[in-house]
Amino acid sequence: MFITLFRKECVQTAKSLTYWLYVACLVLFFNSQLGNMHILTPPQEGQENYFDYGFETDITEQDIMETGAGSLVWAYYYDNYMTYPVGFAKSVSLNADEKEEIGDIICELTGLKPADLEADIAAFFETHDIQTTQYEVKLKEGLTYDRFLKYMDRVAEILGPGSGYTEENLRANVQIPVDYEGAVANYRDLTEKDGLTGGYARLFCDYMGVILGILPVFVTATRMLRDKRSRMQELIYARRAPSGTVMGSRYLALVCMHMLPAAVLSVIPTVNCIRAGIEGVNLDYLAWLKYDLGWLLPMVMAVISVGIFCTELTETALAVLVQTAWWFISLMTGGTEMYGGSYGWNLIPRHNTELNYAGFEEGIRQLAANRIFYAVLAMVLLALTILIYERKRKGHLRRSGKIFRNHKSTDQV
Amino acid sequence: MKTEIVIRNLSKSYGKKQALKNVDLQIGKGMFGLLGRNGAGKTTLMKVLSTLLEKDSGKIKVCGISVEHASEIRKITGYLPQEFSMYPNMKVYEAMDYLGVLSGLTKAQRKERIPMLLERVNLTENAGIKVRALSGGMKRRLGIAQAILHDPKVLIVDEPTAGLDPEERVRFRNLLSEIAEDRIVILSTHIVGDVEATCEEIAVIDQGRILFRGTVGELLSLVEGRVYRAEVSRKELDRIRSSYNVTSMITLGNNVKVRFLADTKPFSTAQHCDAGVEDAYMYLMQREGAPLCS
Repeated sequence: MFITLFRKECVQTAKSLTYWLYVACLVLFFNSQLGNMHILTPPQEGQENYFDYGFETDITEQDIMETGAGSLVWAYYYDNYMTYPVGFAKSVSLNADEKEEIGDIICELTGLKPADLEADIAAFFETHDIQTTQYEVKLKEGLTYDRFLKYMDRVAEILGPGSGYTEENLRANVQIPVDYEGAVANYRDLTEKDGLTGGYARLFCDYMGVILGILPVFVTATRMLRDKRSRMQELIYARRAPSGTVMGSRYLALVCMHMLPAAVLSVIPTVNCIRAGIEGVNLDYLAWLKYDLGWLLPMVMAVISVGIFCTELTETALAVLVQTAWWFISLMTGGTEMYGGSYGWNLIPRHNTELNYAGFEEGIRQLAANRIFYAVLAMVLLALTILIYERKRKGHLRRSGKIFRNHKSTDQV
Repeated sequence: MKTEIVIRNLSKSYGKKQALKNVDLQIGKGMFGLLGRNGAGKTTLMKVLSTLLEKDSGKIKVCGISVEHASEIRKITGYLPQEFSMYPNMKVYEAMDYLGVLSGLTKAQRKERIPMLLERVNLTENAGIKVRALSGGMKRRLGIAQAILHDPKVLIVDEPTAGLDPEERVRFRNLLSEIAEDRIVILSTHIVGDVEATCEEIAVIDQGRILFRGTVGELLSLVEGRVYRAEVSRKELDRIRSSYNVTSMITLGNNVKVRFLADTKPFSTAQHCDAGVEDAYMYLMQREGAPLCS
């Protein structure tokens, strides 16, 4: 019964317009983010820059100070201050006093007066590529990290919530491209330890996680509310199929149908790696599958379990709100760990590069614990959903129909 | 296993409102009508029997199985809810197949039973169309087909003829009667004509209590010799309505043909006539002191 029901649920999902909208969003998102995927070739000594081969991971306080001060000078010079108070960019306009105070802070940090800034920026980019290098400014002799942070706290206070001048954001914003040796080491990791395809599978998961952390809840809520909308609940309740079979098959079908297009798309980076034909690389042909199952599947399971649990409990689209909030918080939390290596308990772990295998290796235990946690959470929510469903089959917890009306109005039975 | 439903001292409340009060019933094979006005407790009783509601107290055995064993009861009961519907974008056959799987039927059983049942409810030609395209009557017939898909010993149908045109209603009643040949069919309705046309055994329920339990003949015997008809002027009508329980009226110009209940002959022009189930039902309601809608 379970397998047959599973197949029928898959067919039902495949006939749903919401599902095809999900597939369309997935394809469009993939195309916009990874459509022009460029497969890295070995770095050549003396090439213009090694921006594509990753960033330094050993960031010093000096790096943070130089980049942070550089960013502030840049914003001050162009009078363009951006903050991200709730994740979305917001342009902040400062009044004359505030501008003056920022100018004073810059002077305290660098010794540069407002009139000197243009010349300093121009001089820096005479020797650096503006496309690939962040502007860095020379700091005043003897400026300590603590004093620097104090000034930055004041800047953050002037700009308001979501500015890039908190210590966490200052650290996250430092992106120093590796040198040739670093590029060779990173590329070796990518080809030897990651089998080339592993790095791209991880990058795929990073991007697709953003969309898979939210979209499945729409399809799930639609499917779950369909019984109520079609007034099918009592017809199904009165059947002999156990609640575990009804809900379990539905859940499994939703998970498989959501993973299917993601799995198909995940093969594309592997195909691109094969087509790149880089010599001497032992490709991992199944990396896409390992990452789909290990990285994306627990996330999809968790999102769908939130969908079925909230919808079955409330018979409303509350799940969409809950999941949107969770997704948003996850994205915001992950925003400071984009380069990977520190995954925490985030639903949407970030690793926005095909490189940094070292970071991945360092954080893999954490990532595994994270993914197992969400898979277990999904199973717990599924079990609770089955319990709720079973209670509803016996007339409890229902929020619609004549029975519910009876609770509200005692003159109808 | 005896094909019988035994209900003893059944009670069910929704908060402070008692929907069923110490209901005792024994229902055997054939059509059984449960008659009562809207809100009398019929749907609650149907749902308790179908395991869709839990009782507060009392005992129910369906074919020897206690109603607490929901999964066992579901194997032997079929249910057509009052607000019957199916996934509108499914085709008729597809919807039946889906419900067949939920009923635990194998592929072979579904292949055998679905065409047979669709033929029985005269929907063979509609097997390939979507449920949303069916008329009200067709949907009800499909409802019956899905309810007997797993060949249950007990079929529970809740207000099945509401909203059907007269022709569909007659067809539907005949269908139920055919089905009742080898099982228990409980027909819950507030339409007296449905019960009169199909059920030998009936119960009348009001405010959660069983007011009458017996055959149609026994119900009719309650009003034997108490049903009168007369043609009166419109002026006199008000007096008759205030003194007697009027069961029907037909306006003829300035006069009205009225049918009413009285213990003795009320006036000389009144003529005694044969009792109908509707008369008996109205009498029963009045006797129990339940306010009647006129």
